[in-house]
Amino acid sequence: MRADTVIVAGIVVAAIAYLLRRALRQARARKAAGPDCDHCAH
Amino acid sequence: MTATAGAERPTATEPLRVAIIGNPNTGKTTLFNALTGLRQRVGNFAGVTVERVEGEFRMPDGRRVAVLDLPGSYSLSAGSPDERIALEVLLDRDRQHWRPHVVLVVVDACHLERNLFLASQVCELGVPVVIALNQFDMAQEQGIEIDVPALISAIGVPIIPTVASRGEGLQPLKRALFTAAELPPPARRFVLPPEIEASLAPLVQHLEHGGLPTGTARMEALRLLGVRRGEQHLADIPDLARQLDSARDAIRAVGHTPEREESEARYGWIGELLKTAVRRRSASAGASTETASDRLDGIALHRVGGPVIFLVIMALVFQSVFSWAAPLQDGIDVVIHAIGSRVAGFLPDGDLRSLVADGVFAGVGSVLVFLPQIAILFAFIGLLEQSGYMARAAFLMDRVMRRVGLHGKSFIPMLSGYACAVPGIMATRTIDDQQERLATIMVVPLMSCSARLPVYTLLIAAFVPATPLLPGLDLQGATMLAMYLLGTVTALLVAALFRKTLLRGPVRPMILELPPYRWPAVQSLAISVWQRCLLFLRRAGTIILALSIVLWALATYPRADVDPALGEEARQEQQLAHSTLGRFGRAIEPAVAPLGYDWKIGVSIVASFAAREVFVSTMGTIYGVGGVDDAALQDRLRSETTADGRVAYTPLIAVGLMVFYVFALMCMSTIAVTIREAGGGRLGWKWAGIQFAYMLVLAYGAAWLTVVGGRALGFS
Repeated sequence: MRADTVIVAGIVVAAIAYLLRRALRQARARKAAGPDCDHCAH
Repeated sequence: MTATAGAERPTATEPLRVAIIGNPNTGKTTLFNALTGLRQRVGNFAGVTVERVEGEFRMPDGRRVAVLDLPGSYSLSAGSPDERIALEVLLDRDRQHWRPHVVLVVVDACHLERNLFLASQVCELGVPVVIALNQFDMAQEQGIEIDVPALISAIGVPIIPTVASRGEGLQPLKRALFTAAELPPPARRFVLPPEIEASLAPLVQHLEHGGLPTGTARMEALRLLGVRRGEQHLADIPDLARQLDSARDAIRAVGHTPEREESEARYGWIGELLKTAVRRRSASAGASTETASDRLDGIALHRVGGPVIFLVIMALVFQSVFSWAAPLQDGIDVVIHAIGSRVAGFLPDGDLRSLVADGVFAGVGSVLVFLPQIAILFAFIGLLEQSGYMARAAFLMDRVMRRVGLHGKSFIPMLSGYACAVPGIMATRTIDDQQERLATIMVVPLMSCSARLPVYTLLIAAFVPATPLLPGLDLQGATMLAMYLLGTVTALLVAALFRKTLLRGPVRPMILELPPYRWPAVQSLAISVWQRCLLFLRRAGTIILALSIVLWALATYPRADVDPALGEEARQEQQLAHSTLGRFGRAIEPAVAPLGYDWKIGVSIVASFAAREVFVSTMGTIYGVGGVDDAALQDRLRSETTADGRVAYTPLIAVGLMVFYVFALMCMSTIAVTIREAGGGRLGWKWAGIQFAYMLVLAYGAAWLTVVGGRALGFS
């Protein structure tokens, strides 16, 4: 496997992990303090 | 009897806890920011603070002070959710154990009579009090001469004149907080008729048994006489309603009116106090008592002229968003383009280079170029807010609001919705009536938020010519204004529908305070614009970057065996069609085809459920305009053809797409905040579900009508 393919796979997996973690955080925040909207700092 | 119970002193290790309270629009948040160095949002209208906001500062000798900014209240009633927050904190009924050591009451020096009502209530809570006589400079300008020592001796608390916007009086104020903490708490300074005191005695005792300190119980007993509804913060005191009824009966029996006792007693005392402590310089002979604000209001609030001025201002704002941003956008474009080419040039030809050029730079870059538009829009909104014009706009809108069954207070949440629906929905906490509040929550997301701006701008710049219409306004600016108006007018119509069906109820009049016009503080304006820009950049660097990477992967894999004999564009097309994104797009194409959209717009719409701007970055990624040249993406959209050679995107389809974005609720954060603010649990989900469903139906229906109707009228 070429090195750049491995790097690309790593970046894509990291991006997916970030999005999943964010979705989870929002679901939890809804129950607690409030939604985490990084658009307006709320 | 004095109110001494309940006062607390800070221990050696804990900070001095100071709660800031005051009438709306007295400059509480400005003072809070000046004291703590924080950057809470400030506006020249009531209702900006709807939550408890905490900050801290240190004295030169290292002592710490924790400050809590409470929502504005005219009195210590618990009518609306934000007022309840204030009362619960002051009485520590919220069980958060943040009972303040000192309460700082911010009083508007220009409106002492009304402001001192709240101050006199707070002075009975059994907690040391300091009064900041804010906007002292304006009172002097208006010829109001205040004898501060006389006020101090009459009220019995330290009183410091301040001008929070210029940081004047802060040092004496800080020192006074520590001095006050050492003093005994103030007590009631007026005397009730003995027959009223006697009638209230059993109720006071009952409240004391319920856990209220003596002074607080006396204040609450008097206040509760005029309260019609149940008080949530006292819900744990048993049998309160019965005790209250007997107190009222006893007062009626001695020939008094219970509902009026408190206001008569407090305003009577305040009136006497002001007679001795305040003097108005009489206007010189022949001079008019009309202020500059009054004269300006004569124009801005004119029955006909007012709405016209409002529309002209809005048109200018949206036109400027276009014309002023263009050169800045080009500059950003050039910089990103140069960085993108340089970075891609370092990498060998392959997947990584494609990810950087077509994924990261094309995706994030296509959104970043909208930074100037965001900055200009928020600079204007800040300018209008701080100058006091927004309060006039609220006044102009009140008549319209009442006609559709909304309270005038709904205007502020709807206005906040132009920035983002999340703070807009949270600002509905100032509305007392639950039905009116829910109706407002339901329509706030129809106001075009700043995340829609990149979508409108891309489509308008690509498909709407800059034909001049009026001096200073061209077709592009007018189209943008039309999109904002479409959302606003629809919000009012939908609110009327909700108020006539699911959320029926009477409409109550609004008392609106018009603050004097002020010159906006450049520094605070710059801070608010800078914060908006930072948030936009943070969004571009996080969620939009992550989505661009994932979308690039979906558009790139699995790899197709492309025909090398084909041209660059055709090869790209073949690869896209073969990719996961292409296959998914084809699967959902039948759903968006009636709107005139192809699968590429379909997947961009689906992707933008995470964040609306992602529509633009997805288009950037799909078209692989790796040069991240904004103009290149517009060119590609204009020249795109379907398989049978027809033009894929026409101006009519672009307008239909913008209409779709005006109405569609594509924002996870808004859904989450609606669930919470509409009551949480099953109730919250129900209203969030209704909101999402009606907005989706509206978006789809209106976009379809635009395209079909436009074609029938001969547009293409």
